[in-house]
Amino acid sequence: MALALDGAPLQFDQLYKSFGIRGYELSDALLALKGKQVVMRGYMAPPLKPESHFFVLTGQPLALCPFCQSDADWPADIVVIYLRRAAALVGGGDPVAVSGRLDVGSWTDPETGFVSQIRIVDASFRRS
Amino acid sequence: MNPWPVVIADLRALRWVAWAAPLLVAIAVALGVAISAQETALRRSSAQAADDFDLLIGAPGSHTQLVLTTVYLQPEAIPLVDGAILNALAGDERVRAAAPIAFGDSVRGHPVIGTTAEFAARWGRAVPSEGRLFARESEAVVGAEVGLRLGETVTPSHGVATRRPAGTDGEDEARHRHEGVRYTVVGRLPRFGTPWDGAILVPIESVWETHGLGNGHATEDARLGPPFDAARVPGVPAIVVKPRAVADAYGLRAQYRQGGTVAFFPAEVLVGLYTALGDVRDVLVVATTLNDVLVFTATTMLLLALAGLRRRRYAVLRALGASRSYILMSVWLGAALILAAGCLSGLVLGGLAAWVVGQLVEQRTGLVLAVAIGWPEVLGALGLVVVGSLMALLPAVASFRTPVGDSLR
Amino acid sequence: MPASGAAEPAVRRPPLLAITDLVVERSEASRPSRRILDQVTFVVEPGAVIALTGPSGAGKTTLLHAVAGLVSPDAGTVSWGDLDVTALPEAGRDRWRRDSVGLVFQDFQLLAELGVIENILLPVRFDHWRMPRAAVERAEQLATRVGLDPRGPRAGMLSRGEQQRLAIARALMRSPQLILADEPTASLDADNSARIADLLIETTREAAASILLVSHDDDLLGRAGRVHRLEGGGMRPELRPELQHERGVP
Repeated sequence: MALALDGAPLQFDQLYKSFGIRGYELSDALLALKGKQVVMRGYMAPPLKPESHFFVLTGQPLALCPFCQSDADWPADIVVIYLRRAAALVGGGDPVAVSGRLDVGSWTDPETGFVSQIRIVDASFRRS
Repeated sequence: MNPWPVVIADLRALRWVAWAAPLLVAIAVALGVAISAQETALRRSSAQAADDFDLLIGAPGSHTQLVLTTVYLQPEAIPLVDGAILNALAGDERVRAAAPIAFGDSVRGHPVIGTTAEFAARWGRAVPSEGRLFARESEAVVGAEVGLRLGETVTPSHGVATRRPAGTDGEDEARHRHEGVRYTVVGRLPRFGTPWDGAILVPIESVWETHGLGNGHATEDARLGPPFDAARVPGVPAIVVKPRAVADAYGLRAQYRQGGTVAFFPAEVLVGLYTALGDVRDVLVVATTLNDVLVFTATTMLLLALAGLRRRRYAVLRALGASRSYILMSVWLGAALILAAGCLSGLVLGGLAAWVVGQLVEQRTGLVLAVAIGWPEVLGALGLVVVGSLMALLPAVASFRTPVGDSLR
Repeated sequence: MPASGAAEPAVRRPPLLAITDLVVERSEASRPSRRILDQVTFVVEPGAVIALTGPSGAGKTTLLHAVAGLVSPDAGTVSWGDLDVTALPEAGRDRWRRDSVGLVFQDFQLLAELGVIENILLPVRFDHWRMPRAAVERAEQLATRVGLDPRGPRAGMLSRGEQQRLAIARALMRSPQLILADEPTASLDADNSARIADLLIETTREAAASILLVSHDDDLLGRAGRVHRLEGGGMRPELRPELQHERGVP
């Protein structure tokens, strides 16, 4: 039962082109899609609130991967999703597909203090 | 043309059926409305109750159980987590504030919860409606629904946190009293609309002392609250943490999921519960929709039969000069009115039923449900009105087509 | 010419009602069609009181329905002055009947759940949304004329005699020029029959309308200007102008 999400498809392994000592570099493919409508598939990180206007999209199902907990640092491959409308969030192990406008660059959310590099804004999602 | 006199005459002729048929429709509609309104209220109120509990840390065990006991104060014995974590958290820059939550005693059926004054005030957003927060080990601040007055002194009993109704001394309670321990009520918290309204909050230090574990501090008369600088800080059933930022929340969660503790967001547990709740609701929606279809069909068949019985009556009207459309309008209006009246009263009836259920839930659990008829319920009922109006066309069209001459015999 | 105030309103004489060679057949499944009416011909003169009688099943009611334009005949014509009613489409016949014909039934056929004035006003509701004040006044006058209280109770609570009076008032509401009455006294006792017979004839005369009635009631038949007999006989009903009483056409 597909509600078509439109946008250019974007994968987690396309986000960065290298992880150097200084950190990471954003890939050209990513920068080319900046400001455009994209569709990403991933997993919802465990939700802080049952209903919210934002959540974190990860490449791996965080909640289910025991070995992923060993590194206390936040995984590099996350994208923060800001929804057009607050919605009920799903469990951490459920795969979701997100569609929205890609925003790139370091930004601090004034409300939560969350610093993010890659965001999808004006987004909507559905379980996939 | 004005079909109303005919419609009124037809409805009056129905006598008690004119009330019974809409009532049946109303009951069917009310079921769907009540289920929908209740589910929404339950989700909203339970989520709101967990608002101040950003991250929970506890001993390994069921996440759901930990949420039920700490957020919703459903009594259960919980294994303890090492008290040293409190100090580790106090020094962690990712943590804005952290507080222990300890339970196990009760006064007149109200649970006694040991925590810090900071969490009692919900990290500063709750100001006592009467009096002040506790500042000494023998002081207590009570929830909005606790029937104790300021200045009253009580003695806690071990265990036996009875279910509702609270406020009375059970026989068991009297036997398990901690002699020599006294709390004086110095303040009352504002209403949260959660089971915490029925709780008596005391300093964690006094809970430790009551059970012979020291007061968690190096000295006897230390100031309440962290840091807990005793050589060995006693354990607690749960620790609630307010992280500084979202990334810190995930970091803390990752760190404390190992090393003999569990850490999670209550939201995770709630989301799982809501999914199950939603599944249950989906099943119920299917059932009530089937029910609606049955009742609508039965009512329409009744109206069809009625139109058939009234053939002579309508034929006379035709003979007297009424056009076919006049008859169609009269029959349709009469049928649509019955179905629409049923749908709209069902909306009201459903709201009432949902409210009653909400009252029952509140009495049992202390969770206040803000039951309201929202747009989904109203639109649902209006949708049924549209469906009803369409089905009302069946008897109307049937009357439209009957030839006059035959029906006059 | 009298030098007083307003002149008498000219009474419009109704047109001649002429039934010519009327044929109505009924066909039922697995039976050959039979003629209910076979070449029926007669007239109702302007303002006359004409009666039909005969054994039941002879087609008298069907004849009334055909005259009223409720049934389309298989042959023959019903003409109202220059207007050929049978040639009109159904909507046209409905309109003619609404404007020109008043109906009185054997079993009253009122809306029992509505009051006296509401029943009289019913025909006006068929093509008016708002009730004109003049119509309400006329209805009140008619109610009083037939001996009923306009604010009277629901029709179902009236006695049988009162119900038929109400039906007569309703029939007269739109000032029809033709009254069709199907056994108007058959459901009433002797006393009420006589009164209803009087009322029907008088009010029709006051309205300057023609009346065609079907009846077995000798008293009522006696007041007719002419009585026609319809007999089923076997399968072929015939019209025989027996029992004609020339009482003078009013």
